[in-house]
Amino acid sequence: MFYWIREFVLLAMICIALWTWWRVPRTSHFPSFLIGTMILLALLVETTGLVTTVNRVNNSVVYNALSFVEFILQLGLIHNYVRRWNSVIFIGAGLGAIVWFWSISHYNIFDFLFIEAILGFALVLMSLSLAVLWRIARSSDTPLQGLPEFWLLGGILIYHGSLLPVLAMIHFVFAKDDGMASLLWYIPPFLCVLRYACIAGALVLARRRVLSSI
Amino acid sequence: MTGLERMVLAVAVATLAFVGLIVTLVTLMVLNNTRRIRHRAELAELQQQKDEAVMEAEREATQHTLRELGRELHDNVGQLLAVAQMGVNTVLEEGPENPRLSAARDALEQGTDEVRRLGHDLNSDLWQQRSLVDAISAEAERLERVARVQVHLLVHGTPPVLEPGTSTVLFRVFQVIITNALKHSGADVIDIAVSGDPQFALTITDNGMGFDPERTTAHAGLVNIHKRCALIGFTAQCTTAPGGGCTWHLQPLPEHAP
Repeated sequence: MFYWIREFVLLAMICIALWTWWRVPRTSHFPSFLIGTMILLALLVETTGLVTTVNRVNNSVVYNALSFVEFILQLGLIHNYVRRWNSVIFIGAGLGAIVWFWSISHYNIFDFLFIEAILGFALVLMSLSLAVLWRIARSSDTPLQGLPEFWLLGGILIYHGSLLPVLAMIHFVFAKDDGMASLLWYIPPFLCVLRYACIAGALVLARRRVLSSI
Repeated sequence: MTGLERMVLAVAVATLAFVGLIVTLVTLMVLNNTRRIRHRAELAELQQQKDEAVMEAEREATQHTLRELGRELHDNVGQLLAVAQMGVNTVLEEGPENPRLSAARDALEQGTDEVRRLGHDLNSDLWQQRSLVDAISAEAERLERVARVQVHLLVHGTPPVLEPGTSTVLFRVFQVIITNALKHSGADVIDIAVSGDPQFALTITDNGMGFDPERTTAHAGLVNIHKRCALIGFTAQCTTAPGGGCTWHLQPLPEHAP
C-alpha cells in the first residue's frame, strides 16, 4: 500500500513539474529544453518502473540509463549558470564517465543498479551545485528565494547530497541485510519528490520573471 | 547491533545529511542577504558622495559667479555711478539751484551706496571674515528696508563659529526660507532666532498663510532645503498649517554638532 502511495505522489509531483514547465514562455535565458527533457524522461522512466515492478521484471537497465542521462542533463543545467567553468564541468563529466565505465565493466547493466556510478554522479553534482550556489549567493542582488536557479540547484543539491549517505549505507554498510536495504530504498523516492517540488517552484518563478520582463 | 538499531542509525544519518543541506541553503540565503544589505549601504554612500561632490561643484560655481558679479558691481558699475554723481554735483555747484537735479543726485548717491554694498555682500570670501549671525543681521536690515517687512532678530547665547562651507549653505537655506515667506505666504513679520546654547539652532518664523505640509511635501524648494541641510549634517524641521504661519527649525544632527 505504502509503495502505491509513494509512486502516486512521485508521479503526481512529476506531472505538476511538467505542467509548470509547459507554462513557462520559451526564452533563450532559461534552460527550458534541459529541464523539460529531464522531467519528461523522469515521467517515462517512473511509469516504466511502475509497470515493470507490477509485472516483476528487473528494471535496473531503465534506472541505470536514467541516472546517466540525468547526470549529463544536470551537468548541462549547472553549466548554463557558469558558462566559464568549462574545465570544471569537463572534469566533473570525466569523473562521471570513469565511474560509469567502471560500473559497466564490473556489473551487468540489465541485472544490477550501478550504485557506485550513482554515488559518483551524486558527489560530482552535489559539489558543483554547491559551488554554483555559493557563487550566486555572493553575486546576486536579488534575494535568493526569488531566483529560479536557486531552487533548481537547491533541488539538485538536496537530492544528491541526501542520496549520497543513503545509497552508501545501502550498498556498503547494510549490503548483507536485504530487509534493511529494502526499507532504506523508501528514502530516494521521497528525495525525488522534493527535487521535483523544487523544480516546479523554480519554473513558477521563471514564468513570473519572463512575464514581468515582457 | 540489532536490526532496529541499524535502522535507527541509518535514518538518523540520512536525516542529518538532509538537515545539513537545508541548513547550507539557509546559510547561503543569509549570506546573500547580508551581502545585499552591505552592497545597498555602499551604493547609498557612493550616491551621497556623488551628491556632495555635485553640490560642492555647484556651490563653487555659484560662489565664483557671485564673486565676479560683486566685483563687477563694486569696481565697474559703482565707479560709473560715482562718476555720474560727481558730474551732477559739478553741475549743481556751477549752475543755479535745481530741485529735480538735487533729487536725482540724492537718488544717485543712494544707488551708488546700494550697489557698493551689494557688491560687497556678494563677495563670498567675506565668509572668512564675518559670521553667519552677521550675515543674517545684514540680510534682516536689508529686508526691512527693501521688502517692507518687520524682521526681528534674536540671538541667544554665543553661537559657535561654523565652517565657511556650512555657513554659506545655511545662509542660502535661510534666504530660500525668507524668499518663500515673502513670495508665497504674504508674511509681513518675520522672527529669526539664532541660538548657541546648548547647541546651535536657527529658527525662522513668519506670520504668513502657511501651508498644508501633507500636500506640499514634493515641492522642489522644500526638498532642496532638506537636501542641502542633509549635506552639511543639519536637519530642517518645518511646522506649519494653513492660516497658521510657518516655522523652520534648523539644527545640526547630533553627530555633526559643532
